[in-house]
Amino acid sequence: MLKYILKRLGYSVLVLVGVSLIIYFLTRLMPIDFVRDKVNSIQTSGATVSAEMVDAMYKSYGLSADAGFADIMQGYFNWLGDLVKLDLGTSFKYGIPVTEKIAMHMGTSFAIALIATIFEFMIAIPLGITAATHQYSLRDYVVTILVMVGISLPAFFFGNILRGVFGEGGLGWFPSLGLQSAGASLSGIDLLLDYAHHIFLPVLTVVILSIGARMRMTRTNMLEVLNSDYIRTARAKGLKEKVVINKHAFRNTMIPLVTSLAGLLPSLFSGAIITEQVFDLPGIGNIALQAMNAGDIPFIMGYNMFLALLSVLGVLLADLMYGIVDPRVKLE
Amino acid sequence: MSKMKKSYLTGKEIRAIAKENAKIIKRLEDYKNRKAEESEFLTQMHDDANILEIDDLHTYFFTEQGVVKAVNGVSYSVPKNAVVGVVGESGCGKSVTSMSVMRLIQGPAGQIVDGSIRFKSHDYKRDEKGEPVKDENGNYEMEDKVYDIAKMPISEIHRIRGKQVAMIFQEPMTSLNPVFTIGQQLDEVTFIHIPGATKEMAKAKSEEMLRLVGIIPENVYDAFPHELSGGMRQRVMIAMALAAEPRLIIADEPTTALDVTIQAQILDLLQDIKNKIDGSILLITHDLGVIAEMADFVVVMYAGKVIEQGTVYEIFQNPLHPYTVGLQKSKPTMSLDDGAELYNIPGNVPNAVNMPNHCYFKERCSKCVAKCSGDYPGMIQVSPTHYVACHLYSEEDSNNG
Repeated sequence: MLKYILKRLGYSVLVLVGVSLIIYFLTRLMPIDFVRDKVNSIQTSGATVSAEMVDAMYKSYGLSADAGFADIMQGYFNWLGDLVKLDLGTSFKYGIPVTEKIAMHMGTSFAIALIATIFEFMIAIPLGITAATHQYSLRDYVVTILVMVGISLPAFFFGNILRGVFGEGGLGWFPSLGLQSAGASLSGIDLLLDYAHHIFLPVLTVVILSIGARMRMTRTNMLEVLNSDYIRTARAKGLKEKVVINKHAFRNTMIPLVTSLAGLLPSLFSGAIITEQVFDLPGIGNIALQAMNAGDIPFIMGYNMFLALLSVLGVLLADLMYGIVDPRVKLE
Repeated sequence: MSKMKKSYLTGKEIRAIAKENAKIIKRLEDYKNRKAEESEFLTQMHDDANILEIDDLHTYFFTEQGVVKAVNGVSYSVPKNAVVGVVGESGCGKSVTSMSVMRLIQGPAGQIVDGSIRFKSHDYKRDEKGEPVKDENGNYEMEDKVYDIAKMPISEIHRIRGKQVAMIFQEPMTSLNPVFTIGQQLDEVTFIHIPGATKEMAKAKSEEMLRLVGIIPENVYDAFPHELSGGMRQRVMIAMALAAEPRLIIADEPTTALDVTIQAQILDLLQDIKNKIDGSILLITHDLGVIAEMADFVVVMYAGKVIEQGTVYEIFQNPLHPYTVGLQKSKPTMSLDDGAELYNIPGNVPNAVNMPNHCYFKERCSKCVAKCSGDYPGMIQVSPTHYVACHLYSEEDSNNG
């Protein structure tokens, strides 16, 4: 088992190097030039910038005006060299080390994603099971239609509707923007409640949007399992229908669900880019989008590599989970 | 003509069928899921020597093409301590009949529409709360009750399943739950059916059952189903069926999915068990050899109806219905002349949706008489135990069989 994990981790390093190369090239090829934008903004403020100064600026950021293949390669190896020393560099836009910036905003996004994921599973799985056990009944249709409506709503649209209806200006039950009440100095449980009050609508948005896919998955799995021969055997034994579903069918339905849970690892940390924007939350998704628009290469690299690492680990974790929940799967 | 019609249903016809089906299914599902007093499904056996009496059973499937009458007025009974074999080609309704006895017909499409399934159960006497009653010696009291399984609400069916009637299925490869060990799945039977069963009791019982079916429990108890071969899994299924000491074991083509050597072993095992247990076996198969070896009584089914039944000697020595005769002729034998072709019954079973009014075998029968175009033939008694549904044997010449 340990050998299997080590082998997989070895492959993962190769995958990550490949991913970093692709992301670095794509980032450098983006039609956004951080230095030129900066020079432009200085010039619009009235100051003059000499050609030497521009060159010096490019140099200090490790970029060049018209980067060729060799320049980008050079930049990549510089970045990789720093990474080996566990240095992700300093963000162009935010002016602080990338790791520090990520750590600063990770908490908010993680909290929202974790709470949303817990609710998503707690709501979607029972819904999927009832829909499957009452297939083609009114209950099945109602549940299916509601979750399909949920899937179909775009985040910016649904988020704004929730804000408009329940936020300030509407019913006023929840704050519309931000993570904290302005000007209030709260601590302890009050601070926590204030946070909860602020992230309620964002979490609700994420949950409603994601329930559908999970519920459909549960329903499909459950239907497949319910039609299998061993469920008939379980019924023939004299088990009550409740036990048949909650024990025999559920354990089998859980196999793909548990493994999909492991695959969620990166999405717990990636931040909900659009939802965070709608509710103006200082989450990592929001920060990353701004960095992307500014051409902040170190931050984009750091953020994406972090997610790539989590994805690779998530896949490994999913495979390990398979070995645990399904006795037919042996990892070696 | 009926075939043509089936393939070219118009949208309007399909909607009409769906509407009609939905109405009937709703009524039958409500009946199935109703709450009912025990008195509603208690009944009496017509013949006290039987433990199972299937009486004019109709089990239909309500499909988009129309109603498929998979079991259309089937009656037969299983006497105490006997093996009854049911034969017939694929799709003749033999499995659906047995599934009806277990109430395992998949709803909402499949429904028992009419008829009764009387079963004499021998179970713990229970008080109003459903707790088993003990006598003065501390033993559980037993009592006989006759249930009409077809009228039972589905919530009461646990009185029958497993404990009274157990089933061995056709597909041993997929009939065991892949995520539980053999031990867990076997123990469960004891936990469900023996009041106050402990873990040790269940394990001891499971191991005893495994030994009975010729498995060394140490190797298998903690194994998962995928670690066993098909024959071993079928043995486990048999052990599971026996664990609660049922009065009736339904073996639904128990050897069909196994290779020939294993088939022989499983049949020997069933034979052996038949002598050891105090119960009856309902053996469903399309293999006449199996029937000849195992059964005391034979029921021959064709297109959802029983066409002939009798003791195993009567059916094999003196088959009356042309279909039974054909079935026996289609059996490959070693004595066949070199180069002689194996006999087959010409034609196919009629379309299940639009059954004709006359004998269903008429188009394939070599002995048709004028009467065959008339009504469906009734059951004719030719000996105290031998019945046949064929116009060839109606009153005037019932003795020439």
